[in-house]
Amino acid sequence: MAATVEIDEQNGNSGSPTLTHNIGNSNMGSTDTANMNPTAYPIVPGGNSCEKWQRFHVTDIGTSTRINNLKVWRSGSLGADAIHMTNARTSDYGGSTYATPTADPSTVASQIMPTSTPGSANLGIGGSLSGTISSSGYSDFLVHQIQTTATALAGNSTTMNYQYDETA
Amino acid sequence: MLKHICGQCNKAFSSEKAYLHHQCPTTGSTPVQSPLPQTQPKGSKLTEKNIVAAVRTLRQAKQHV
Amino acid sequence: MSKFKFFRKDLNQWISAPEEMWQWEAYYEDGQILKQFGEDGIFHQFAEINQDQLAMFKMTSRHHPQTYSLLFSDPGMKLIHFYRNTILNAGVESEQRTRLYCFGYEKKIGSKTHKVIMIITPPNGLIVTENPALVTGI
Repeated sequence: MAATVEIDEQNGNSGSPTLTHNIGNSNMGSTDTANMNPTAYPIVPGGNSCEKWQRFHVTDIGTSTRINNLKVWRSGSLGADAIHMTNARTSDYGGSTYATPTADPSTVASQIMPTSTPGSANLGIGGSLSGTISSSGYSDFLVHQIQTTATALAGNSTTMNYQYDETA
Repeated sequence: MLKHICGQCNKAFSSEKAYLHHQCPTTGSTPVQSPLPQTQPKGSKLTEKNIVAAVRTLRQAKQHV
Repeated sequence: MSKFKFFRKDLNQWISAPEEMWQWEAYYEDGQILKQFGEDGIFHQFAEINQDQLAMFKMTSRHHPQTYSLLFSDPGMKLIHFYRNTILNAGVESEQRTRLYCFGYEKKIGSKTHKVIMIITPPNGLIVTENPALVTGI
């Protein structure tokens, strides 16, 4: 059986967080909640979304031996007044330890989210881009945030893409 | 302590193990059994335009080296 | 329930092994064949292939007539096989999940490692490339 992989999101205070498994969406807004309705929690122009802290989760390796080469990127146009930031990067990479998500400008998501498939892994496992998951387990945290300018208007949207290699 | 929630049915669990073995009413399976599509979706499109664009970028980069 | 099974040592139990759309067969120099989905109902992992004895690696499908074969004419060729799984537009109505069947080889030529990967696409075409990251948008 192919490995079963889901995307999870962690929310809440770092002392007592909540992990939502197999999220239905990555909607971003002004509150720290998984599967959010963005119209209920709009981002004030000039402000930022609350950070998202997400991970690949291999719930069952099945008949495979490893999962690796994780890539994340976005599709769609955000417009000129918003930027999607992330900690995902293809070089000089280091894993991020969970911290209470903030709507302040992220100090962790310092890279621009790629808008096409990265040429190599940009999210690590065990702190390394060449890391592997060989049974059930988690990737490093993917941290991302939308940052807007004061003239940002509602209506733009972007979607997330994920990729992983599986060896059977 | 980490609380676990199923993102599909919103049920809460006190342990990852409990989450992994719950029969999700939304997906119809347990998280450890969730099947990935074994057949390719009929609607898949091979975007040759994207591939050619990616190749062009790489070729141009190599020509400038 | 699949008619194929695999023994998970870590769980100390047999698990069901549903068939893949494209399956591999390893042909050895002595004429023996190791199939990913064996005729005895047992699923075999890639790591079980004895690459020292490998003469030909074939991808076949119960659903399509074509096969794709890679000849291991040089003992220096090292077999590669993996699945590339992509989730596009995750969480929205247009979400699309694809699984690309990737196989090929790498070989040392001088101090450099040369790699060639073949990718079976959703419409069952074949792309041959030194750089599988170029195959995007699928």
